[in-house]
Amino acid sequence: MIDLNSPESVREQLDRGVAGLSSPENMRAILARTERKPERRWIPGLCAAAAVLAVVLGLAGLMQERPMTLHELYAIEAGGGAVVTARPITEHEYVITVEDDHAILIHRGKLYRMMYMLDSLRAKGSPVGTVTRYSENPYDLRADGDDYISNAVLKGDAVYAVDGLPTTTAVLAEVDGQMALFQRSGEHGYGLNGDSLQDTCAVLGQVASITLENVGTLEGADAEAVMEVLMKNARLENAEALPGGQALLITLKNGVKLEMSLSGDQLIGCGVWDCTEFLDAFRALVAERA
Amino acid sequence: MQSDARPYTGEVFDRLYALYGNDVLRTAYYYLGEKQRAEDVCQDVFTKLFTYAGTITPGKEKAWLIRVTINACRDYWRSSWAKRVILGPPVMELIPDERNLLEERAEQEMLAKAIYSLPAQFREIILLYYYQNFTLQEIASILNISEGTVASRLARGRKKLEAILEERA
Repeated sequence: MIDLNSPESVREQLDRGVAGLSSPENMRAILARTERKPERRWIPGLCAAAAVLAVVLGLAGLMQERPMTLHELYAIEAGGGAVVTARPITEHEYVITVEDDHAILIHRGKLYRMMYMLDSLRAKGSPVGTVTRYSENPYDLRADGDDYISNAVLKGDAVYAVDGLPTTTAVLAEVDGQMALFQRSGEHGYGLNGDSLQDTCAVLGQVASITLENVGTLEGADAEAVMEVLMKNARLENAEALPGGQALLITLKNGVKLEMSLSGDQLIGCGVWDCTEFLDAFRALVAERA
Repeated sequence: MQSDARPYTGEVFDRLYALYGNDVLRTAYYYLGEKQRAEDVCQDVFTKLFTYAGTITPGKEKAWLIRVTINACRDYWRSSWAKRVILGPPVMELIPDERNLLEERAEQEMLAKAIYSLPAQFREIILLYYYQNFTLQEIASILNISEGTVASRLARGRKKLEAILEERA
């Protein structure tokens, strides 16, 4: 009989259960041959070997200090096709068009996707509700009678506003002991729920900078100006989600970061929005400031 | 010693790998229930050991490796949510060596499957406490949560585990 009051005996049982599983003998040689990616992509062996050699030569510190890219900073890899279109149809069917999923929070028809862990609580606002159900069952997650339901935030945990933002745009909640930003999103069959882009991305007046991957960064008044162009001209294409090709990162004055993505001329956040005027204005301003 | 001054030369990397490679791999296996994924996690973790060498406090290498392992497992666990819902979770199977007696395997298998069936936040606490022998304080530091939260999750996890084991006994 397994005695949970004796960690030693539990440990012994667990150890013996996987005693035949051993890590490969020469990990250093394996690492020199491959670069690990979640998708198991292979890269030219020479590059990997050079990277490992650089570290062995004591350049680890330098590697850490290299500028971070959007992809390393945030949960969504727009270029990696991580945006999900997944919609429960019945209790037992589930349509997936992109092989991935996310930690989510749902509040009466509004879906929020977890984006990243905050490194400061400066933007934490007042409590706006409580998670009344934790579930990993996607059918459960459609039940809108509860206050907040989630597959990541535990039952009983509070949900907080983001200082300066309406809850139609984003909320905060604790995940695994850290405060995480949940941004409004359109997927799993959840869409705008009567809201507009001005509601689900209500950032005007608070934008510190906007970065469009592979195009550039606009700051201050320039960033606000292109955001106004977006808000005035965006046309709703549909309320679902698409895989994105470029990340659009919006950094607010309070340090909070929101991320959307672009697929061609379409902006994907909560819903898919057509806005060539925004892209034209963004590129023109970046070129002008260069 | 020169290797202490530059602790992540290839030689010291090999030593850390020899010491903790199996801990990382087996913890990932008990977390994910998939050998291939556990091996991927192991490789990712030791790639990061090279990259972040300068930031690890000497003497705390195991805690650092297990923290990175848990984070990698969490990432995969969350990203595979839809897959688990559609296809069902992978079947947790023991990987004993030839010295393991057949009659002992039933109990080990029951324990492994019971831990695997726990929600992830309890499973990781149980693995860190029972399998990796960390103290509550160390677990709190590894998971970046308070000791109180660790104690509460451990108590709840143990209760759930007991209930599962009793039901299956």
